[in-house]
Parts: sequence; structure tokens; C-alpha cells
Amino acid sequence: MRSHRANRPLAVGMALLAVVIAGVLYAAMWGHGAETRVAVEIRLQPPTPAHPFGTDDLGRDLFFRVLGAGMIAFQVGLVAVGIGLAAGVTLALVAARWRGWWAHLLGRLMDGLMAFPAILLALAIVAVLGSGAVPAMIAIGIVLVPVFWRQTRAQALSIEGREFVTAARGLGATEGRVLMRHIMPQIAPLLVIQATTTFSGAVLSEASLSYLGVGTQPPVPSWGRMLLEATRALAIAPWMAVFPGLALALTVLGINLLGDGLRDALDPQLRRVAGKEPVL
Amino acid sequence: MRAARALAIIPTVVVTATIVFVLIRIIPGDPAALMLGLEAPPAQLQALRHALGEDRPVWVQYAAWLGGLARGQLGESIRYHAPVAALIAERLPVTLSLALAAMAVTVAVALPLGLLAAVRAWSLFDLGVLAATQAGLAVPNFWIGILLLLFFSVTLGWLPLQGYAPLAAGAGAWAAHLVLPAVTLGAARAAQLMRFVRGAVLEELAHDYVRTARGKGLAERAVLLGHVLRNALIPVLTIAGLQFGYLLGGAIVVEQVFGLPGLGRLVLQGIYARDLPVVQGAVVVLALLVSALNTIVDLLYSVVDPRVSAG
Repeated sequence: MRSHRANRPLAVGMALLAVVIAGVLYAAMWGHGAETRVAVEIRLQPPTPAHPFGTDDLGRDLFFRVLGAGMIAFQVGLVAVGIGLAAGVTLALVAARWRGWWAHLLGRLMDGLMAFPAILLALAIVAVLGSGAVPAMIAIGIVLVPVFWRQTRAQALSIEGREFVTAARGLGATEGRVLMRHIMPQIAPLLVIQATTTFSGAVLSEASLSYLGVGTQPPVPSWGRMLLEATRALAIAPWMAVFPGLALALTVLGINLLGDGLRDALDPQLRRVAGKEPVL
Repeated sequence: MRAARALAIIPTVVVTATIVFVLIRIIPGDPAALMLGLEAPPAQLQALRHALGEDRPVWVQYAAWLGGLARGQLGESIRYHAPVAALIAERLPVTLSLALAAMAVTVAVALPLGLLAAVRAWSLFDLGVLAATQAGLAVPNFWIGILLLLFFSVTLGWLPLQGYAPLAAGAGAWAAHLVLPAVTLGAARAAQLMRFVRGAVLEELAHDYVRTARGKGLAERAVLLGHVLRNALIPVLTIAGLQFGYLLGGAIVVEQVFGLPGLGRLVLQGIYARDLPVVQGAVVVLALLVSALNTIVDLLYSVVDPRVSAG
């Protein structure tokens, strides 16, 4: 039995995320709007003690912009995972309980959605909904629905046939009780792991959409958008391209490690044997 | 048997085409209003709806969309006043070149490093490879691209900053424009494939036939390349094939970083210009490419591993 203390990915992931979250909260409480304050007289300044990450082409402080963008990344990521989780799990549970032609059709639709490259599907949705942080949340959320659907359905189908579920129904338990007392506890650990790994994907997708100009819109700071702005001043202000990317990479790394650690801690079946890495 | 598998792509095509149709036409929202802006005069809106065929019942539109797709007709671009299929044909070679070059980078990096990491499991080299794969999966590809541009094009001036040169303009120019995008696009996939190769090789190394091969006096090199790698390649091939699909998706972002005039950029230009026929056509072609690829991987899988087609 491995103790939690030996779970190094979990510890490193949590530490990285703690640093990022502390920075984001610090900027939210003591930044006083510095992330959007324009000061043309100090535009394009390299990092100095007063502006540790430098300033951008409008003289905005990049330290506070990078931290402020973290807030947007977390918001978009959380809402998108929430949409994917709620819709995917609900559809999967209903389809596993009441099977029929429509469940089969739903299965084909979900497989079809899975076959789309995520960013392509998100772009197609944004093309119709328009650009912005909210359409990006919805688009990424829809992309995640089949991911949760597939995992939950597989588990729910195997649980539906087990004796304790049949027994509970035989004893007159309501559908709601069977779901909450018997099925959910079985699928919850894997859902936690899945939510963590998809969260890092959602943060990356938000950055990609914003980099492509169809996600979070200015003046709200977003890591992807900041990197887009950085490419326009690459030759004269290279620091603009460094810090937003670094913050994004550290955040995603933290979430990925947390996901690996959670898998080790919560899922004994997938617990890594020496050298046998689970592949995503 | 294999022909039947190839035919299985037809429902996939229909499902993919249906999803794109539903996304673009049925999601709440008015494409005509989106294209012309909210303050467009009603007569103009009506004319555009007619041009897009949106004044017809949904099922007629759907049948027309599927029928057009079957004949290779994807409608007319509103901005370029040209058939969407022609616009796509122009840009497809760019995206395919990029994806193939990135695939080459992925395999060239992942196979040797993954094999070596497995052979020296838990050595310093292996731990370095594992750390690199974690980093490769966390770093967004467009950031890698920007940093590569910053170093090789802006600072050193060795490679072009933006754009694409077709193969017809000379192999040198073509390669110079493609090397950074290919490395950018391949990096994360290489990290993922490396992790997988390492796992697959480690699993094979534990089998009895490896001990037998070593016992009969085969050189370690022959054991690794002739036996272990050959068996480990079967699952690796599947993953590599699926990765090609990811590469086509990732190409959208990477084309934007390096200003490559490919399909991804066409999708984006379509979105910026609110040219929905272009978006719809380019999205369906990219999605179908990915589906076709997955089917081909499936077929190849049964060629490499005879047990699969028997089952």
C-alpha cells in the first residue's frame, strides 16, 4: 500500500497549482486593475524591478496581465468541464438505463463527435456562436461531452448488470436512490480523474482559441491572446512572448501531474506498475 | 473482409457530414445575420438567406448538402466568389505536407528515444526522457512555434519568418519553410508517442521469448530490433495513426503561427470573414480526412497483426 506521501506527481502538481492560484488571487485582490491600465509612456519596456515581466505595446504591466489571465483560464476551464461533465454523464446514465434505438443513435453521434479534432470542432461552434470567452466555454464544453459520455457509459453498463443494482431495484429502491447510492459512488473516482485531465485540455483549448483571435477578447487578458499580441512585436519585445507561455505551460503541467497523482491515489486498477505508464 | 471494413467508412462520412450540418445550420443563430451584421436591411438578409438556400425546409437543405458532398460540391464562397471545393484543393497540399513532415519528426524522435528509455528503464536518461515527455505535453504548440521563430528566424535569421514555398519552387525553399512548423507540430505528439513506445517495449521485454532469444545467444541488438521492436510496433502503429488525426487538428494553429496558407488558415479566414460555406466545407473535409485515416490505420493493423483479422 502506497501512502499519499510517496505520491510525488500529486505533491508536485498541487504545489505548482498552489503557486499559480496564489498569484492569480494576489493579482485579483491587490492588482487594482493594473492588468488593463494603459500607460503609453512606458510601452514595450523590458523586465525591470517595477515591472518584473516588462510592459506590452500599450504600456500595460505584463506581470499583472499574466496573473489576471490565469483567472480567465480557470473560469473558462471550470465552466467548460462543468458543461461536458453534466451533459456527458447525464446522457450516458440515461442511455445505459433505458436502452433503445435512440441510445444507439446517440452512440453514433458521440462516436462521430469523438472523431473530430477537438480544436476543429470548437472552431466550427465558435464560427456560429461568435467570438468571445463565453462562446469559447460553450464550444470547449461541447467538445468534452463525448469524452465524459464514453467513459461513464462503459462503466454504467457494467454496473447496471451487477447483482447489487438488481437487488436494490428488487427491494423497491427508486431510480434516484439506485443512481445516487449505488451507481454514482462506483463511477465518481474515475470522473474526478477524467475531470482533472480534461481541465488541462480545456485550459489549453481556451489559450488556442484566444491565440487564433476567436476566444477571450481584448482588453480582458488571456494567455493565448497575449501570445498573439507578442508575435506582432516579436523582434522588438521578445519578453512579451515568454511569460504568458511559461505561465500557461506551468499551469497545464501542474494539472497534468495532479491528474497522474489522482489516478495513482484513487484508481487501484490503473495504479502504475514500474514502467507501465497509462496512456491517454 | 477488408473490403467490408473499408465500406464501414460510409456511415462515418454520413455522421460527420450530419454533425457539421447540424453545427452550422441548426445551432440557434442566423448565419445570414452573422455574416451581414445585426443592422443589415431585411431585403439584403433575405437575399443572402436565399443565396445560402436557407429559405428552404431543413430536410431539403440537408439532402442538398449530402448530395453536393457526394458529388464533391461544397457550395460557393461568399467572400472569394469561388467554389469552396477549389479553395480547399488549393490549400490541401500545404496542410498535408505539414502533417506528413510533422509525422516524420514525431516518429524519428519517439522511436529511438522511447526504445532507448525502455532499455535503460529508470536510469538518468530514462528519467530525463520521462520529464521531457511531461514538458512536451504541457507546453502549447503555438508557444513552441513562437519561441522557435524568435530564436531561429528573428535572432539567428537562419530560416524564413512566415509563409510557404511549394515543392515546385525547389526542395530547399520548401524544406526551409516547413522545418520549424513540422518540429512545432510534432513536438507534443513525439512526447506522447515516446511515452507509449517506452511502455510497449518494456511490456515486450518482460516476455519469455526475449529470454529465449537471449538464451540462444542472439546479440542484444538483434533481440531488440528483430524481436522486441517488431512486436512493440503493433500497438505503436495504432497510436501513430491516431496521432496523424491530432496532427491535422494541430495544423490549424501551427499554420497560423507560421503564416502557412493551409486548410486551417482557410477555416480561420472563413470565420473572420463570416464566410460560412467556406468554414463548413473546410471543416467537413478536415474531419473526413481524419476519419479516413482512422479507417486506414484499422486496415493496416490487420495487415501487421494477422490475429486481428481472424477475430
